[in-house]
Amino acid sequence: MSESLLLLPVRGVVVFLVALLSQIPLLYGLLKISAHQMDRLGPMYPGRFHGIGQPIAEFVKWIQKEDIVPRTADAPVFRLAPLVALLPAFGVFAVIPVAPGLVGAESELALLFVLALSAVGAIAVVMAAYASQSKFTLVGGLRAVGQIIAYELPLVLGAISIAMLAGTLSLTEIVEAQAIPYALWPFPFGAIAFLLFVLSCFAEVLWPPFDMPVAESEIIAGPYTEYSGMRFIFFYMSEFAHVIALSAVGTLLFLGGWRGPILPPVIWFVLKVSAFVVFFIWARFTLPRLREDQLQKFAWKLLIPLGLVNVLGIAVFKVLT
Amino acid sequence: MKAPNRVTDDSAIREVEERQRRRFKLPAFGIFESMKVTLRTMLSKAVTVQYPEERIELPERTRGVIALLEENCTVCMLCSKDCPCWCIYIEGHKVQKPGKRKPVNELDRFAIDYGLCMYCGICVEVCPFDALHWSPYFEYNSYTYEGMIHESDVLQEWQHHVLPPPPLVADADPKAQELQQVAHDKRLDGVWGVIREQDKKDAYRAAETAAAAGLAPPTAGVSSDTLPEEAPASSAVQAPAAPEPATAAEAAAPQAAEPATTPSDTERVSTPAPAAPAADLGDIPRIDPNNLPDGIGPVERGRLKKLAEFQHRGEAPPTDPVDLLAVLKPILDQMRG
Repeated sequence: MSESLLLLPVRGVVVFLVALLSQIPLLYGLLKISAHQMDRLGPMYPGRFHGIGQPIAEFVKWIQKEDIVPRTADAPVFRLAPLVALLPAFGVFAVIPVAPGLVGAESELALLFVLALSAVGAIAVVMAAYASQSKFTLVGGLRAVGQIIAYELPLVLGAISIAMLAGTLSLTEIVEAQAIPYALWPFPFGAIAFLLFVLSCFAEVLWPPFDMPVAESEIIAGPYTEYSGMRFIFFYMSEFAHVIALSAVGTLLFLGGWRGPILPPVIWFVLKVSAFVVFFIWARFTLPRLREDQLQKFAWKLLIPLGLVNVLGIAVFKVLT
Repeated sequence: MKAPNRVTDDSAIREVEERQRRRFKLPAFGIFESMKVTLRTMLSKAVTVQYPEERIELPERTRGVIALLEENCTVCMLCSKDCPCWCIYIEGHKVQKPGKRKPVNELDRFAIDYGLCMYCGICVEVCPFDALHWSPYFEYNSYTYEGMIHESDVLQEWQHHVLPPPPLVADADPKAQELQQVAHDKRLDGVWGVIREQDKKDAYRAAETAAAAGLAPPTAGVSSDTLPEEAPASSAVQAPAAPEPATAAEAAAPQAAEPATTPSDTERVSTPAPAAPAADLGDIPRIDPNNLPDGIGPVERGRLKKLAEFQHRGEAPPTDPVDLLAVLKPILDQMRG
């Protein structure tokens, strides 16, 4: 016990570093994949090899910019909002098991923790939107909150379906429950849960096709309009951390986590998460933005009833078997 | 009453629409379709050209910059007056030349401010003496405003990229063909594609002095079309760009594959044009620029014409940026047999 207490700061630092450094390949993949989808090359010069240093260059560029707080803004809340966005997103990394025993903090309620933390992002968006005292941020903030509330439900329903099938909320045990061949939950419950989870992930991180809150052609940058410099990039870092964290959770819930033949578990885990992230980027730069009312209708009239029916079906299935 | 111009029988269109409507589509079919499209472009090679490192082959008559042919300029100021941007600077003075009745204009300065130029090409159109040409060159940037003003020495340099005028169509007016052939032949010698009146005069004078001194046989070093009197004669031949091989030097050039008939450097020393290296043209068939084979694309047509120029001059075609002979090989094979 005392040993684990001593190791706690070390674990914390490692988790933080993983959360921070995993953003570099994500940003690089974002730039490169989006470029190649448009038949461009993307960054080619920084870092000498195919623009590999571009993420660092972007970061340096952003920290050089002036940190502006509007005169009419509610300064303390305005300053706090980026941190409120960033810290929960990084916190999710603490409970994600990468391999058997390789986890920041082993928890029986890891899935609940992840879902709870990912909802905190909504509070940060509201803080940013209201504290900025601007029309664009207000509209963006309202949209963001409406969207996150609407899509939190299908996300939870999708995750809960898997928790019910596995009979546990611990991510490690959920992976253990996925028998070989990998990632095969009883049809159609697993497939429906996967669909719900993936679709709501897009909405949770405000990525296209569900990016109405930051629709740049209508409301500039939504809740982030008034931000600049380091605070602005904090929002983006939280978004990226969210993408990676949700991809990791999706991998654990649906793709069998670190399980896989031949290669060591960590490699399998990284490969699966990368595939998930690449899919996110691929869809992000392909699909056009939905309209606000279409988004709400899609969630309330289709995804949530589907999720409820799925959960009911799983309950019946569990009782019968 | 029916509207007269309406298509009344649209059953075919209706049928297609009906078939498209009936075809089974998955829900959210468009999403999968679009994801497929982006996946295909993602995996295909990007079209970007990394410009300073990579270059594309531009069309040979690209309108890059405006180049000056100084010896054709008579300081008439038409280009300067017609320029909408006022970017052409001309200075000159009058000189009484011996043997001339009237004083002639001499050019002192010709400069184009490319910081102002809008590349309308009016100066090229308006020049009555063909002193201004579009050149495919385009890398003339500068870090300063002053550096964007390019003087006549630079403008003259860009003439090296200008091609001779294209041959006329085969059924053009005979008089026009003859005149065009004269102009064409004039441009073939000297620096690549440039009228070099001065070079021609120099060559004639050199041949005369050489003949007078008895150092060399009169026509040993100068090919027939560098002599002004003989140029129209060779143009009278029906096939353009294919004059009779009048001298040993010219006869040898297209068949340079046989080293025995290649003229030595000492024989060609009085030729003012840059001494063409013995060209290894191989056994390519004679290309008639007015009568190219059918069914080839515009790029290949341009390349064939370019090759015809080199063939005519007996020079080796360039291998950079593209190896002309290599890329044209299928067409040449087709022409051969």
